Amino acid sequence: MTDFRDRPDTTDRWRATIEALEAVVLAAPDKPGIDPAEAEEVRRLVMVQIATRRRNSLPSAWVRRPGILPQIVPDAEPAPKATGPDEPTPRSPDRPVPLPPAWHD
Amino acid sequence: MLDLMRSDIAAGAAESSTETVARALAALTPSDLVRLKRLAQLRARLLPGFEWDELLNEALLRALDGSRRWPEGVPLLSFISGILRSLLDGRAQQRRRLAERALTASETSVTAAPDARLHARRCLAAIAQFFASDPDVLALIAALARQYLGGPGHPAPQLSGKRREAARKRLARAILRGQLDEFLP
Repeated sequence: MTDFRDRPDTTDRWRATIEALEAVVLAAPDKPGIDPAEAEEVRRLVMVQIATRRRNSLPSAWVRRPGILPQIVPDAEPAPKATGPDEPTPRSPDRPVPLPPAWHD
Repeated sequence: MLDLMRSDIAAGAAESSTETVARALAALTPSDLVRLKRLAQLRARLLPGFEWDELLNEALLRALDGSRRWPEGVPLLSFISGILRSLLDGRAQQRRRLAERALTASETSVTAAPDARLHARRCLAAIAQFFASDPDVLALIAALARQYLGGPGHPAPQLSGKRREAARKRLARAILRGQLDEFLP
């Protein structure tokens, strides 16, 4: 019988064997009974790469650059004092009602 | 088996290819994820000391950063398998060049990389040993490998259709369950 270890250069034969085994893997039907832990291990690897790619492809304006702190502007008007334990704090008449965000509806 | 084709996923023409790859990868079934691992493990066996997860990570990076385009009509796993192949070929070439440079510097005669040959011989022997009790599987491997070797050689033993299919199933099972990988040096 022909032995697959016969003749050509050993490294070429090993490479051809790998190609053959890969072809079998690619053509194999979906089988239950795989180890879920193994699948999870690969899923984690895939998801990390996807997350990294998505983060890297964000517009630069969306990404906080290191060393730049958000600017905090102090309130010009002092916070109103609570008038009683059960009453809600009245809104200052000078302060406009904030509009909902544009994407709200 | 999940047979994700690029055309199945690319709904909008404006959608970027890399996002298409990302979505397809995120949709892989557990079975396909294990298949992906096996492909990386097999490919990494060509280069002793190279880890499968390192290779797979690099392949995913290439697929996701757009440096490799996913051709229309090619299943996702075949696409990733192609990237694994070219990455490993690149690494192997790099390693060979470094070895040659080192040998030239030390003025030793350059023969083929003995480490790679020894590793290949050991792996082939391990496969022969693993399937020693299953000559049909060994015949199938020989026949399939012959297609990739090209040129004249010994004719591969022929198996009948049913025996060939049964051998293919046994071989696939041994690979997918990771039994063969554990056995390889």
